[in-house]
Amino acid sequence: MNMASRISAALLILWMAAAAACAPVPPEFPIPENVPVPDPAEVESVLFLVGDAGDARMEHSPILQRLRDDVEGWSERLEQDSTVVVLYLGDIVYPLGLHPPDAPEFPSDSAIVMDQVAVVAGPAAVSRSARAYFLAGNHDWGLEEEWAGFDRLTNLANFLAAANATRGANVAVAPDPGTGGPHVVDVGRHLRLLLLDTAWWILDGGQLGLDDRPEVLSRIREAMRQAGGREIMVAAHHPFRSAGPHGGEVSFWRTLGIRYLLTQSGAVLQDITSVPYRELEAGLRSIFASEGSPLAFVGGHEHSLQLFEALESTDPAYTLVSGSGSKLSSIAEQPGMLFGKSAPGYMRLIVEKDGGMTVFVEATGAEYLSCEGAAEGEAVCMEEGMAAVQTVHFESLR
Amino acid sequence: MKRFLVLVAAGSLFATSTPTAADAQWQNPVIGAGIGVAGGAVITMSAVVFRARFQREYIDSTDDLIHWQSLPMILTPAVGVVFGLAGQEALMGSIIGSSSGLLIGAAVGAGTGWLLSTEQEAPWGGGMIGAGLGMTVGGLTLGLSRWADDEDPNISFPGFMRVSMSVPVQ
Repeated sequence: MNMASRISAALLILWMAAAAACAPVPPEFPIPENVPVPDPAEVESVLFLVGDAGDARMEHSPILQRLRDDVEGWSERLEQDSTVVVLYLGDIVYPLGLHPPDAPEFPSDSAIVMDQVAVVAGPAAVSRSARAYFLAGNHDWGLEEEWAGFDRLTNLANFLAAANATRGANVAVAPDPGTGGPHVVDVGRHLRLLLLDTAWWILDGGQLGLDDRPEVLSRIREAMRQAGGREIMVAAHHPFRSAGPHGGEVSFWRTLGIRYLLTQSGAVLQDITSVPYRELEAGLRSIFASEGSPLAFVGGHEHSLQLFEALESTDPAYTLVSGSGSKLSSIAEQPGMLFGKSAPGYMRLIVEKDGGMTVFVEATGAEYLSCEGAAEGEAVCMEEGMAAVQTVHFESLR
Repeated sequence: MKRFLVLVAAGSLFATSTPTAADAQWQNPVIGAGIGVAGGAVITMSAVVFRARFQREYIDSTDDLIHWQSLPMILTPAVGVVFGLAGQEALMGSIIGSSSGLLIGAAVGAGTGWLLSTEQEAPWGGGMIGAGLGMTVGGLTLGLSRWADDEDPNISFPGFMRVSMSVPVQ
């Protein structure tokens, strides 16, 4: 072996050694033993948080079916109308949003959307005016900047308007395509939701001339100021922080360092480290510094379930990530993490009449992400997957 | 695992087999190409980071890789083959020059990023851009300067790479 070969081999092996030292360690949190059961008579409203469900089909997804049952159950139990709300936290349709009706992709795309509409289209949900807001994700923009992405999102808005008319389901894209937001929703007497289109921000939808970033920040500030005594919950596709790949927790080893270094350098647009994402974070932090931090910032984007408490004064009191509606991605332990799990699931926020708020994290086994083509049979898989859904964590937020 | 890999790395440096001239004729271009692939990845990543930090052009899908910034993935292995064909000295020079250029460039870039910006990505970005720049400059400079030191500075292609062509001349 000549010197050049030796040096090459040494460099390669040292690279591998360095890589092996940089793998994220998944956190482990125990399953709670005594999960409190909310008394419906004491509950004012219920908010469901599910993200990145753009690959889920009702007949193959135990989580989607369980979510529908949960929405239907709470719609029946609560006294008041319009007190059950579902937030779809973006990436409604993979891989490139809802194509136009004349496109060959439309039948499969629209079937995916209709399955999410069906969650709030049960008899109790319709009669009690349960609502579902569909927040835009980067995939709903078709990963496109400018008008092509705007058109893709407008297809979704039009489709949901039609579903609203035909199925009676209370569904809509929020905020309106191309506007950035926030879309303000007051839920009961205690909670104000600010729904943002962060994909619009990251993909620079402002260049469409419909809106611009300072306007959006100004409206967020105004909506927070006018909240009265309500707690603020900001919801968007992109999370405020994350212990998943988009948050920089990338295994060095799996991509030979390429993804890791690009993420750390801020070259990957959809990662928290990219310049537009950091500008969004800075804009929000400046608002939180002057108006006070919101109770929670809710996002998807990462295909896992995460819950953090604030570490800095301009952090939201809690950061929730619920993006495992149809995909899973890795997760690592981070400071301030109260819970984290890479498993199919969703979150349920119970708002009590006295203003108490508790979030319950519902998840099933990773093997039940999709029952399509399951070896033991799809029906058996669905039954087992739904039976395996359990509360893996709960946290009192207020 | 880590210790084992480091031991193997150290051992490989002191391996004692000596190549024959015929082995070296095909080994060197292959090594040059292999190192060139790794170097091409570093230089491409450096270009990607440069465009993201200074031109706001990011990686968002695989389509974004079809761009001039990926040209080093082709060019650098080709340069490695040329240095390999040029001879042992040129190849060694390019490897040592690019490796040390990578390290120095990364250090200088990271330091510059840290000094000029408070963003936590700035030292990484500076390091990546510096690494690519340092690798390119170091590899080419030392490779070309050592090329002249080779016993036979003319490129000699191995037999399997030669193409004979005869042109009738009147």
